[in-house]
Amino acid sequence: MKKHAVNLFVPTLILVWALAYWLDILDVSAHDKLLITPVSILIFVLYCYFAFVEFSSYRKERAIALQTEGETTGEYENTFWIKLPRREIAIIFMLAIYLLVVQYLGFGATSFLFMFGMLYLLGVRRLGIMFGFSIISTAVLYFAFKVVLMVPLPGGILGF
Amino acid sequence: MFGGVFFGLVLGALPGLTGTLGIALMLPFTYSMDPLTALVFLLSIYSGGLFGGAITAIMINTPGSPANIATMLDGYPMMKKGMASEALGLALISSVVGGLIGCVFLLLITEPLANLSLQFGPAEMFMVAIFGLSVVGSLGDDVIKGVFSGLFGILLGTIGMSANGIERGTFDVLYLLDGIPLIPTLIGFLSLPEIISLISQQYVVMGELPNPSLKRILSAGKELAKRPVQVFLTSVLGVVVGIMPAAGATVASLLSYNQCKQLSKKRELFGTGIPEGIIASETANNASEGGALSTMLVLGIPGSASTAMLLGALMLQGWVPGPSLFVDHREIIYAAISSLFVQQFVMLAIGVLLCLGAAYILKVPVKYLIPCVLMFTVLGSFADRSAFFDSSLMLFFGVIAYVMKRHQFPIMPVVLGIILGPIADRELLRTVQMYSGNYLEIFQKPIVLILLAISIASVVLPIVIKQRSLKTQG
Repeated sequence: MKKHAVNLFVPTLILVWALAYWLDILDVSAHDKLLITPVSILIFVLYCYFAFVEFSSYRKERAIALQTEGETTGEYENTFWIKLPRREIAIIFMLAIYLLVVQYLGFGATSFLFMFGMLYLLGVRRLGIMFGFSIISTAVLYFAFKVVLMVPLPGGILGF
Repeated sequence: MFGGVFFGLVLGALPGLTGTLGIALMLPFTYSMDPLTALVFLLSIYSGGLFGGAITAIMINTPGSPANIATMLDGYPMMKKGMASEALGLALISSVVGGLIGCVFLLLITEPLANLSLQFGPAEMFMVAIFGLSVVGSLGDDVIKGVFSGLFGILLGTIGMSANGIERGTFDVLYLLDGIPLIPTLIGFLSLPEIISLISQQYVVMGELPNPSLKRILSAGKELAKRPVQVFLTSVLGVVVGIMPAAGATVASLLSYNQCKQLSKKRELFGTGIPEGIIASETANNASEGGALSTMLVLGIPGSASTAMLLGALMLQGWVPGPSLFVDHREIIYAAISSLFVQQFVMLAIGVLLCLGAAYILKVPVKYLIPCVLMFTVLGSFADRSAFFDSSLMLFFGVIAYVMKRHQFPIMPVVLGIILGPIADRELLRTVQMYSGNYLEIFQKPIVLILLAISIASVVLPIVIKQRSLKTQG
């Protein structure tokens, strides 16, 4: 059962968002929902299809499990909690922190810390390489984006 | 010209930075140039930018611009097979050949091409969007999941202000008023999951890698010579799509890739790293330049942001695009168009050098590559609107894409939906407003009927062919 619930995770996420979108535009005239209406309906219909497929699959497996002796529970238990890839999550987390902090601390300092942290996370341990690579890459990016391309990078409290 | 092409190539190669940005940056400098120099310089940036994005699309699965999304689909897998030089060479030579064919059309039939663009009204443009979306089901292993992903993408694409100025789906977030920003979305959906998945490897491509070589890059010419029909037809498709206002190189490359996949005998191999995929995308996106320029020069209608900038450059010179341009400044316009031919060869020369350099990226350990690429993705997303909201959106969509991939939901239909959904939405509204009370008139338009037939064929034909091949195997 839990395996089938996991399989419905993405469709449910999209359906919930589509529903929230639909509620957000409830007051909007029909002309401005010409494409949104049929697309939302189709999303709902396809969600029902996915739910039906998973439910049918669950019933079949349950029927088979009842026919053979004992229930097959342990086999699927572990898949309810998706095995979370720690390093990938750490990268996403570091990126999120970077985006939160960069506007306050400034591009230079935040990028240096980010590069340093990423190198450590990816297994680099030699401090000289970590410092040097972080400083040089931050400097090159700063020059390329701020000076050459005139992209307004945040200065933050440190000014660069 | 060399400076413009090099600048465009480098900018196009950086994720999030496009040839359009290059044109925007250099536009003020053209004020002091004479008209021909200004036009040639900006056109060079434009040409260079169209190919530059293919380099990162192939090397790190991050399209440098939206026009290179389809290149990524076969370019990156080909690179992963250890054929980076061949993939880059294919992209380069396809771009050059596509650009040359686009130039021929531009030079010989500029005015008829531009007049053809006037035939594309709202109903026709809506059908173009539907035509592009008709293949979402075939972009993954599961047709229903592909369609579901495509619908999700279409809904995402409708976020923002409608054509009537009504806010939809923004949830009071000001940054979403203009809709979902395209470049951060593309980077998030397409690149971030791939970049993150590299952390389990030591190098981007494991195993013994042949050194990049000029011979291997230029050997791609033979692959193009083996497929003259595909090269010509995809270029023509690119030119035709290029003349459509608001279509542009992105739509040209996606439509071309989709059609080649649908009509090819090797359709199951698309996405696994075959030359046909790269050729389809790169010939079309560079050929679209010719079509877009004809519409811009003759009618004064910009087909994309890049041509809008070029229009601005012409107006800075005190010129008014339109039929009178060919009367008042004929020699300069045709000189600029002729320079496009030369630009393709300049792009070939500089592109070869960049490709040789880019192929060495594969020798850099992933632990040094990933932080740099991640910074580029963040800054590339930020650069467009100078808003870290866009970078946050990139990260958010990256997480969504990662989860979707783990649950076997294809991502390309989402991207297609985001690109073509707004076009479909806008043109559907205009069609309804224009034809309200007389919808049958829509089906009297030849272009609508042709596109409808091709869209239906795009969906039905692969199913029929698959059924037949299953029967013959059975």
